[in-house]
Amino acid sequence: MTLLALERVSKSHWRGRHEIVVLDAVSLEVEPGELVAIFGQRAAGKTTLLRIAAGIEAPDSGRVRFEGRELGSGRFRRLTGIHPHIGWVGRQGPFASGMRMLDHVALPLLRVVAAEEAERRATRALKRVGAGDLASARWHELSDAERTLVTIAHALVRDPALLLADDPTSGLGIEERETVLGLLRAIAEEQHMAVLATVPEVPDALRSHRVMSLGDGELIQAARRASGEVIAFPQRRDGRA
Amino acid sequence: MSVKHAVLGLVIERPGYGYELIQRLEQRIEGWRPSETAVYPALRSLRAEGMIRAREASADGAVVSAHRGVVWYEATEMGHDEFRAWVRAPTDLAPQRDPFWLKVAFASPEDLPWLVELARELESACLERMTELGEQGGPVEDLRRQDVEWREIGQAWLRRTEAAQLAVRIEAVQQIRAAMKRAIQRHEGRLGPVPAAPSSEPEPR
Repeated sequence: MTLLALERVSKSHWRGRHEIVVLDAVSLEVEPGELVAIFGQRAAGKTTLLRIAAGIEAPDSGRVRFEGRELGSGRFRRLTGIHPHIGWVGRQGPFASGMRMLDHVALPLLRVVAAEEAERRATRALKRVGAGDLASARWHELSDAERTLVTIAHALVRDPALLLADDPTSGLGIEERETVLGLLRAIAEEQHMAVLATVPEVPDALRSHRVMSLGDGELIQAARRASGEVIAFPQRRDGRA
Repeated sequence: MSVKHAVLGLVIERPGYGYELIQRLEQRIEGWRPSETAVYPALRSLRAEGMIRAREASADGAVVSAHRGVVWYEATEMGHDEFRAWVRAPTDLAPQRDPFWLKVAFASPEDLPWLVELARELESACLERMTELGEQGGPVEDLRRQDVEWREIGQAWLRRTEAAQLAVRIEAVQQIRAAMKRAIQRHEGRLGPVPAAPSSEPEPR
């Protein structure tokens, strides 16, 4: 069973009377154990795509299936109410600036388990991302790379089946990017989790199992074909024969 | 960069024979499709010039029986010298050779639906190449170890550079695709529907 499937998802934003097609019949599937990277320039619609995949935003048309069931379109209005099996890696820090990172990471669990257990799992999540020493640090003391790691731990703490990462490498240096993407790949492989990450630059995508690109509303995927095979042309994007 | 220098570089890296060299070259450097027609003449001419010489077996001699009759090549001293001179010689800016852009530049409005589809294919091919590049090498952080040879680092950068160039191509293709779609709409608005939008039938090439 495919973990996450978007089927001909379309979405437009309106700017006055002008319709801006952000997603034009976008289809994609993500399986457990793989890191899938979506490359696209700024304002290409990457975040919209992730928000729709997370069920935070509703598509104008098309369907999103997660774990075999249709994700209630736009049901989870706020990130805090996101599907329990989906982890979101964004750029948001803790809601209270003085919070220790351990508490910040433990927070999503507090409604689920006892405080002690939440803290134990949060410690484990921080260690998993190599940020165990940041447990008592505050958000404003962290570098951009450290913030990204903490955000990943925050998303991991509920043991999700799918991790959605919104430009996790933006603002980072080359080596920090490698660290973050290497971590996401390792998480996908070792924990058999599906990771869908958007990346602002293509070299980042080298660390993924599959690369797709989003631009002009269209999601293009790598054509996996035997070498020497002639492309049937013209080919329809919607897969109809 | 010529096929000859690429072949010489590969032979310097380690001895090889024709088919094996073709495979190594294809894996490393995209876009040449360096078929037999390019590699074998390069080998012949390198040999005639004394840059490489034939030898009986592979370096370790272990796979001789599996490749009976195959000619292995290794670089001569002269070959090493020539390659070094080429490495240190100035490099020209490479020309834009992608025929897609030539097509775009000279297409008529009726061709645009096909070119939009071609743009998708091209983007998809770029992504496929990207996946290949990703499979070829580990992370850059591994290359900071003390015991890594320069060639490994250099080739990691070759991959990274190629990926960056692919990125530029993808962006350009996305933009031209959007521009062509707008042009099609304008054309439709003025002249009615565009004749013969791409059908699902494979076109004869």
